[in-house]
Amino acid sequence: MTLTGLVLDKAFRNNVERAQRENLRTQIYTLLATAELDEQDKLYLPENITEPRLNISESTLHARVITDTRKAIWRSKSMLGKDIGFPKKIIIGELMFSEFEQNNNSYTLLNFATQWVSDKGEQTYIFQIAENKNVFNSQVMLFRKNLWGWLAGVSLILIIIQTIILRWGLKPLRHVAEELIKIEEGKAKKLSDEYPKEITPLTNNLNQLLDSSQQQLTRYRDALGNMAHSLKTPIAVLQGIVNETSNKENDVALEQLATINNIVEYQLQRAATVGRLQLSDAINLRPITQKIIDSLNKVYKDKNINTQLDISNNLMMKIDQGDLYELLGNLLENAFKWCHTKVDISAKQINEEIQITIEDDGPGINKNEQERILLRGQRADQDTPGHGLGLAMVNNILLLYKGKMEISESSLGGAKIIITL
Amino acid sequence: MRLLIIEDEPNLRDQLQKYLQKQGYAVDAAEDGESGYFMGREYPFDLAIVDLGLPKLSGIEVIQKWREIDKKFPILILTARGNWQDKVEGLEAGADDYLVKPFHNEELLARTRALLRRSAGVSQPTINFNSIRINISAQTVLVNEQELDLTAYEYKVIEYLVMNSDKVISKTELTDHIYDQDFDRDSNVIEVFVGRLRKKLDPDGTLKPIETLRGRGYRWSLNQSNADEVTTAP
Repeated sequence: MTLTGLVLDKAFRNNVERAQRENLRTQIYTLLATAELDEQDKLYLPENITEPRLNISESTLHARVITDTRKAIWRSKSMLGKDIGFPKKIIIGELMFSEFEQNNNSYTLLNFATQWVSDKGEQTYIFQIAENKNVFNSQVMLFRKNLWGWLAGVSLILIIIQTIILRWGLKPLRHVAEELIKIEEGKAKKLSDEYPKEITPLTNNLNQLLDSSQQQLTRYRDALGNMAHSLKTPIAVLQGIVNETSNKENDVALEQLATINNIVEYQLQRAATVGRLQLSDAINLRPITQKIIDSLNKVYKDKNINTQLDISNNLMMKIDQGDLYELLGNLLENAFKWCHTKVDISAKQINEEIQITIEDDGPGINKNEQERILLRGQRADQDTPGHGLGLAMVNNILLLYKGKMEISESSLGGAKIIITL
Repeated sequence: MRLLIIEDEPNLRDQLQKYLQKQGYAVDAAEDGESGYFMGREYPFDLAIVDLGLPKLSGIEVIQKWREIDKKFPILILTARGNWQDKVEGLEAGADDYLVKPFHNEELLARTRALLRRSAGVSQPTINFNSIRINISAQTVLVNEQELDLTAYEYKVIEYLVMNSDKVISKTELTDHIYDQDFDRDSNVIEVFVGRLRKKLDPDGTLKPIETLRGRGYRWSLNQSNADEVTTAP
């Protein structure tokens, strides 16, 4: 659009300029025709000539005739108080256009040199005619104003039409985007079938992709689980054999076996942690928490632990189910292990995040230990696996979900762990 | 106390069986879920140790089926996958505790003892009956603070009677629980054991800790005392 404007603008300018020059040329020819030689063989022009614009002093058209010795022969009435200036070089019989500025006005000047032959010999005369360019400029300005105005109007209409067409045309794609967000938030499992024919290949492919990513994840986890199984039983066997007799070599072997096992365990659990990268479903928090508590109550039956669960029935959490089990399992197991008789669990939604609080009435975690655990969260990769693998696991999951953990003292007397994610 | 191990890895199975036998338990072993389930259904076990990843019938299924037919013995799961979802699933199916492979035998023994104690309603490793004190962790019996010199089988008999002190125990039941299935049984041996135990526990014949109920069996007749710690069941 801008390019069209520029081309039109240039064309119009050239056109107007050509018209102006044409006009000046005509004027020169008229002057030449009017000029006569008087009795002394001198060039003579009447004071008033046919072109009226030369006869009024406020005119924008000025003309004069000079000799090659710069002697003025004739000046039009409109030349009053004006000067045109002398041509730099004189070529007989040639129309020479130039431009000059005077008193903040710009002029187009046409010089035409001619030779008059008389009895006294040859005499060179220069006809000069100049026109103020203001008219020309204002014409161009007006044209421009119109041109750009119209162009802008047309552009605006085109843009509006285009936007409407695009919006209408891309509506199904926007719908796809909305549905994908829902899937990511865990509010939907796959794209619906209500799409125009043109984009069903796209939605079908996306659905297939979702399916295969889910399947791949399952396969991956199964493979890891099998690997864990096949590695750990041999380690258990070796540990049993080495454990039978205690000597220096066997102690070293035992130590090494423990290290191997810790590495395997840590890396496998880490790899099995899914994180929010995958499209995971939203999970109801309470039933899973209840299941873990029931399980732990069984394991710690002797302690007769009194648990209090404060989680609303429909608190949904967007997290992989396996990750949630690890997170709560490890945290709750610690609480059950260290508590005297009481463990409190609560969870609530705060804006977009879920906050889970686990408290117990055990000995608590001292300040140094708190710092050490939290610090390990930042450097979980360099963490030496081993004792307290559970909390390292929690840290890992929190890292993946960009969650955080706070440790403080519970009003029950023991540790209070708050995780937010 | 008679235990059942279901584990498909032959080396680990043998190892565990030998280790637990050495610790004084009668131990039977099965190599797959199906035969394991069958044994658990047919023989009177006091505890089962079940690997989760079993051929033919998974550990979870074995546990579920046992619980369906009302088998109440405690179950300890062994799992190679240390993840919580599996642990919770196993415990939900009816197991009582879990142990992640690889484990130390001492840890397995501690869990086994704790589960056996718990199922007998005893919460402490030491059980007091006035002058008689039984430590089931150390497998020792003290009379007036003097440790008795007992054979492994003698100890098994006294432990089983104490753990089931609310019931009358027949000779057959006692035999079933102190011998594994490969043992050549002779119920007269039980009578000999009981006779010897009475002499060792109660040389003056004043306490009479083991009652004989003619035609029915034996019963531990002493009540627990709270001498220096809480020993009653919760």
